[in-house]
Amino acid sequence: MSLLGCVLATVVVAQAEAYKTGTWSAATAYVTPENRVETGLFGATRMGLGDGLELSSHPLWFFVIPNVAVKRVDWVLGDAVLSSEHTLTYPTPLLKLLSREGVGGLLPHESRVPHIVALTNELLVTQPLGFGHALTGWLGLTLAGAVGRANVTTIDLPVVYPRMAAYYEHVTGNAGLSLAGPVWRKVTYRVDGELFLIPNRQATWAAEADLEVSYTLGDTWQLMLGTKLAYSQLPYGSLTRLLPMLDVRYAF
Amino acid sequence: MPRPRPLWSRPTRILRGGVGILFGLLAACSLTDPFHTDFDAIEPAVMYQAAHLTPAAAPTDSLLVMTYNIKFGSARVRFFFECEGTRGVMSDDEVIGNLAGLAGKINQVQPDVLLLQEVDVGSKRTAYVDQVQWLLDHTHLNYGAYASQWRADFVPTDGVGRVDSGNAVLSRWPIHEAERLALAQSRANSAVVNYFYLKRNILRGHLSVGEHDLWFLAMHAEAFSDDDIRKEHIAMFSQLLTELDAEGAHVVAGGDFNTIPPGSKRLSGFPDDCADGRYDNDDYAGEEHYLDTLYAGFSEAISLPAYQADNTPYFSFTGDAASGWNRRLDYLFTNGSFVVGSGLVHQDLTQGGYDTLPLSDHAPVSAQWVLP
Repeated sequence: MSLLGCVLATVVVAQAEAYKTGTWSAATAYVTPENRVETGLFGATRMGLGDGLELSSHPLWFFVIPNVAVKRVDWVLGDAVLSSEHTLTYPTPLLKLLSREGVGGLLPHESRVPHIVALTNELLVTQPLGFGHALTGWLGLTLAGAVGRANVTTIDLPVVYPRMAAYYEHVTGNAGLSLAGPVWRKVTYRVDGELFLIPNRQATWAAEADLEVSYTLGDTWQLMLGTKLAYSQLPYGSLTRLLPMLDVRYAF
Repeated sequence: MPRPRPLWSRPTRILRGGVGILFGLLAACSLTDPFHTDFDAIEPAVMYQAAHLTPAAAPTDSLLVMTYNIKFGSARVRFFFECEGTRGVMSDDEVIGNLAGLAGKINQVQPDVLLLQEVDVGSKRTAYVDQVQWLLDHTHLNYGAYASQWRADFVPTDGVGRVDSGNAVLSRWPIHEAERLALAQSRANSAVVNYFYLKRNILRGHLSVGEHDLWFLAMHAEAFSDDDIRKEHIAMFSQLLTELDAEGAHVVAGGDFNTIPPGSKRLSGFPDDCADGRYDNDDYAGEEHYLDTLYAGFSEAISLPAYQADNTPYFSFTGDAASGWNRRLDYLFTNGSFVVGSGLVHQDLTQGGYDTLPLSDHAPVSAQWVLP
């Protein structure tokens, strides 16, 4: 090992423990501290496993769209942390549930839904900027495979379409950048922008911008209010929507 | 360790305030009509032009006018809202195939002005094919005006998704000042149902044909209602026609009125009635005089005495191709006149020279409209 390698390794090991965990650290390269569980009304439940590992799932959605994600801190250099997150999703029950007559039928009831498994892999890098602010960038690739006869149309809405496009196109990409930090006392902010790439002749990309403000009470409660500006190219054209966001989060 | 510095400094406060106001305004706009289903009382129609214009000679004494409810190019595919219907979407190939059949009929008749109902221009159920543009590009007609009667970015029922469907008028000659005039919705429906439900309208505009300035009115009246909304639609149509007439305009006015002419032999118990359909079977009892004002004040393509003598040759609708045409719902009126005997309901090979039964649940109605 070269001298430079030794120095780098020493820095990485020395800094790893200090920076690889963080509370309320969803959408960053940090993982939830060991033995801590953070959950939300709408967001994922995250559990710190220690050793730079985090397990997460969306409990509200789990029974209709089974999903599990593992995030691991892969590399720490100085203040910067690089993690990878791998999410396995089985959306078939949800698509079958939505293929129905009447209200709530987002897909035609005659849809034939195959067994679909999707694997999303993301690399996240978080760089503290000082004064509590941090910049996070991420790059992701979703791969999906289907087994069985399929006759399912897309759900042509912003936010939904780019996230489900991989089920139909087998591969999509995403990349984003976020900035988060304190605003005043217990109030924090988070702004981000994310780009989705869809290899489809009708819809090729989508973009979203989030603005979130959170109020943290002690170490266990957090209230988040925000808004999402979503643009998506869709099979018929494009659509822009502004959506409200709300979550109540609890940790133990 | 330095203390976290709040972002409450002056430049960021201004920036944040601006972003907040921008997001707030956008949110307010999104929340008032989140799925874009609403229309103003009067809106400009959406104008179209064929990719390649077909030269049209100036007419001499009359124009051939036709009205046709094309059932969004679904031909005889039974959708979930129809009797024993199972389908929710069609493939691109299905839609284009059905439109080719309709274009075949239109090209056979060669109308100068064509009033269309139930034309999809960007609906998921019809593979997002713009049917106005497609028909212009595959017929001799050059110009179009479109007024949506069912538009939503997303309808969250029955897999409908995005829909944009409505009335159109196609013409050999340029169309001017076409407007979408909103009609009332049924008061029997809840606000939520009406938010996503059809918004009927009258499409009004005029054509410059040689030295003639000609007007048109086109309507598709309410089909399903537990109140008198269909009667109101027809009354509004009659009023607009009367107003144009008073102004000295030369008008052709028609469409699918979803009611039967006075003197119809059968008012209910039609051969295509459905045992367990989503909607009640049609019963026109009480509607026998809905069209009296129109018949009294204006000329219709099919003479009323002829119809009353024998309804059958003038039937223009059936929900079931196997049971054949069984009632008349489609009309052409004018404050001028039609060439006597030119009115025709294009029912089949012997009456119209084309088998229209497989093309739509309506048959086209045409007549030679005398120029002033």
